[in-house]
Amino acid sequence: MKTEALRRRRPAGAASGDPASQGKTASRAGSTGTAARKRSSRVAYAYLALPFAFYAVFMILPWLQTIYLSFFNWDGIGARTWAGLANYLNVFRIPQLRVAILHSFELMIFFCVIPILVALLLTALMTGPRRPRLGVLRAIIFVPQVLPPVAVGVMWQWMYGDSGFINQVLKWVGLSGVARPWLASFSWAFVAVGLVGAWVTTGLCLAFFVAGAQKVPTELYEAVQTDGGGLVRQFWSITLPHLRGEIVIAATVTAITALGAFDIIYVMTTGGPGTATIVPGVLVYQLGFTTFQVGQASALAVVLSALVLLVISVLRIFARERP
Amino acid sequence: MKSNRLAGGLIAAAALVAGTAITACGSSATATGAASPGPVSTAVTSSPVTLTLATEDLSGLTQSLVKGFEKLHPNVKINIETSAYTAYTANINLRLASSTPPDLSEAVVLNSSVQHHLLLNLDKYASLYHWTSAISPYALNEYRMGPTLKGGSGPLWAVSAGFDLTGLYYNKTLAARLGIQNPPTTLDEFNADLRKAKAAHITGLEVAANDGHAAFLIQQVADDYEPPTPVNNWIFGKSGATFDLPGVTKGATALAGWAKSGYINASANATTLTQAVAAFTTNKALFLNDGNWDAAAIQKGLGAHVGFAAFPAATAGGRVNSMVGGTAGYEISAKTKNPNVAAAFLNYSVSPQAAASVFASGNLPSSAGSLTPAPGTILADTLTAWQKVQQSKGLYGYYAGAYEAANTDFIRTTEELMGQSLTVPSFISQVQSGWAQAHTS
Repeated sequence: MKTEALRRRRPAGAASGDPASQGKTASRAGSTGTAARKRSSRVAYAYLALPFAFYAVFMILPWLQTIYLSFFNWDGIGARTWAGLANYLNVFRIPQLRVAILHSFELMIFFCVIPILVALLLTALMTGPRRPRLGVLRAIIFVPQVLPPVAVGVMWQWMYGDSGFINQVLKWVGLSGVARPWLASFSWAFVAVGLVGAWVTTGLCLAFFVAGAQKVPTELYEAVQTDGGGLVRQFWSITLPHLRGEIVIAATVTAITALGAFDIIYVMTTGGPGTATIVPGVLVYQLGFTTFQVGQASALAVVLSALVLLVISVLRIFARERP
Repeated sequence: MKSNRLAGGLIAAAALVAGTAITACGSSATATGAASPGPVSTAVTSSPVTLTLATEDLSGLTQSLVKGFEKLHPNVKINIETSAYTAYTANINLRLASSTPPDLSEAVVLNSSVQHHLLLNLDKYASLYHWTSAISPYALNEYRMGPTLKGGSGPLWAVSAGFDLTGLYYNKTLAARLGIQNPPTTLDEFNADLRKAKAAHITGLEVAANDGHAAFLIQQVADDYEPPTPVNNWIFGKSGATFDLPGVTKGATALAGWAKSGYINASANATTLTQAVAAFTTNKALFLNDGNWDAAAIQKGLGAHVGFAAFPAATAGGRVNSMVGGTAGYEISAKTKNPNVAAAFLNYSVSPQAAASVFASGNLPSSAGSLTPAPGTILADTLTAWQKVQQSKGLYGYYAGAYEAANTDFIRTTEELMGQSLTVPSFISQVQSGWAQAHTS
């Protein structure tokens, strides 16, 4: 209530445009500086309250609840019984866990490394002294990022299908020997799913990098040009060093996506064929919603979160600027 | 409730929002309800009543049953809530445990619903309506479950309008092109037909391995060699039962062999049942091993150019088998305010009046009655197959019903079996260890 009143009062004064009232405010500013700062920080908190509430309800609480449930045996309906650390010990006995975690790290190549390299290349082409305006291309590359992952999965499932778009193109260019049901193949399903991940995250990386590169003053490029440096030199000496921060952010975000991958894989292959595309996210789902071992699923989810935190910490240590 | 207090303490930092989230979850943690109905009666009230029915049935059968029942009792309105199979199985017990459960729900995760006392014991209605004499025991026993939560016997918890049958759909156009006159009746004939198809570059068998249907083929071959008792004991989780049966070895070996020989669609491991049916109805394969729940869609797609037959026996005159399960089997919530109306709906679904719509949907009605399908249709073939199966007492439950994770395990292991990355003995031991884990915990 109080914050609401504050919010109503401030814009009224500011928007009045009355020089007298503005002067009055200015003259009082010195004496009431601390109070004003306090008030403005209160307003800031008020603005933050709503997003925080959403974050608390939809992120922090479920996360805490997951940790809590991981110490119980519970099928989602009946009474919970205390399990202590048993679920955590059992996590390491899940038969497909090792291969699932291995796949998570392999997915980082597709979700993280390839998109960053491709996005850097595209950034080099799109920025620089001449900065060609390729807004449409940038938008097209960014589109997969805003599509719902389930829609992406379903679409690519069709494209990879026996008579899907990819096989049709291969046959059309005379490569019918190469055409195959990609998602049914033990050798290709993982690569196929990984490339979809790369397709999705490249747009995000590109958005980060282009935004970063646009901050670079054009004079720097001109200076390199004057020294006889070409486009490659400009990229290595100017663009890339300026993008260090953006690369770290892109790597962090995409690594989290890779390690927590679930939706696209569940829709496209449900982890198959066999365990060819199994990831921890799919295992968590199967434990929780197929066998109703909610405690066990929660324990695996907590272990997975710890793994994500560990990887991100390592990434940040490597990314730290050395003197 | 003690656990709720603990949770409350843990999340004190986020005080405002904590209450709602944890309470919402906690309310589902208590699941007590009278498992036996009060005074039972066949009388349906004449005052307006609205029931809710939760289902994953997309075949239209449930809709037609509801329509028929509402016509009979115009004061009753049944609202149908349909969800996809995976979402349905994941949520139905939570819905039943909530304060507003559906009055009627499709029985797909019976043991956990019974375990938590979420359902009404139907024994009194069964004797009131004479279900035990009117309904085939094949359709009824699936929904019996005692206190040990092993199926097959004990109190009755659900009743199904019909029951399904599995067998072999065959494409008559492709068969004629290959010079095949009749559907195979022995495994040797079946193999010969598959060889012919391969030689003519036609997919012999369309398999939906991504939905666990490769296990159908293993089981149908295995059941040619194994009598029902040991197999059904394993499916119902009887202690001492085992999956390590000689017939299973034969079935798994056959599947791996067919995959290796290229008789099965190359995309089997990424093919769902819907996709397999679509491929079969567009002349992409000679055979499809499936149940009669897809009969209507297949008949619509292929018209007169399709037939259905019982799965081939091991040898001429050998046992003809089928997996059998209830279709549109409904249970009543322990908390329903209108148990008599809900039971009257169940009784309508197994009545001769409803039998026609059950049969029209491709399923065999649970109640005996005179069925007169048009000759040359899948329905006529289904009836012939059913008679053969019944004569040779070749009725089996589904492998996938043996434990909660069974279908997930079968999808993974059969895919590896077909990909030649899992041996037959390893396949058997992996499935058996999943079963043992589920039935000891």
